[in-house]
Amino acid sequence: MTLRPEVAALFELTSGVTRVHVSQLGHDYDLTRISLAEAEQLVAVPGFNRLRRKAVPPNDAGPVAATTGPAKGKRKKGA
Amino acid sequence: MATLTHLPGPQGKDNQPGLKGLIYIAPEEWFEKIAGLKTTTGAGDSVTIDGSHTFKDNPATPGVKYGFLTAYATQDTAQLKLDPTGERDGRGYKASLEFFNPGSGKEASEFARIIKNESCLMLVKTPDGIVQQVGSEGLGAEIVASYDSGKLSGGRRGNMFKAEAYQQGNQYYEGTIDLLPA
Repeated sequence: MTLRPEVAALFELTSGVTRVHVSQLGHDYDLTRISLAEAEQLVAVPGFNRLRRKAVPPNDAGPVAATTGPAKGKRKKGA
Repeated sequence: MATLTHLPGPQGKDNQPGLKGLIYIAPEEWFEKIAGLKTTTGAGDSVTIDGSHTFKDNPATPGVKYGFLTAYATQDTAQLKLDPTGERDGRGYKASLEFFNPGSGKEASEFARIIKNESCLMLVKTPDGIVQQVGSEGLGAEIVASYDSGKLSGGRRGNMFKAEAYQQGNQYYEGTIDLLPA
């Protein structure tokens, strides 16, 4: 009962529900197999709460944080 | 309570009759919370379910919840009707839903055997995607099946399911439909 890794990085299940029919989108979804794009589409449906976006701590912003850290310049060797 | 509004004609919009060929069914006892009708006063609110129903944990699969079962309905066999009940100054409606499920497998026979002893909520979908609910908390739909083997020369083999529920009118469900895992 786990999400695909790329989806799990950004979203989490809110309950033990894994299969849903979403009338607004006219489809059945197995939440353990949805793509990132489908996850984005689902959380945008008003009232849909079987999946939610994970809160990302400000200091754990991944690659973006890494690029904003102190510059690590190359050490010049020799003269 | 909502107020009365005008009743316009089709105004160029589609108004195709009938139901789609998938019926959603769940016994009342599977639900954690059965949402009721909205209590707000917007147009249509008094016949619209407020939010989504939620289900209990399924003891057969720890960590996974119950959900609606789906039943295939042979095309052009599903029909929902509401007829008035009661007397002057005290009227309600009886919803009647029927659909044909083909086949004579053990699963269908077992389903027919058990479901007649349950009180259920059912959801059906119109061709234009509107979801209507049959039954409500404490007034679930009773479902019975009539089996027909058909004849060698013709007929249909399978179960004609008929459900009845007493309610105040058509009920519209706009929430998420949780499904029982396959």
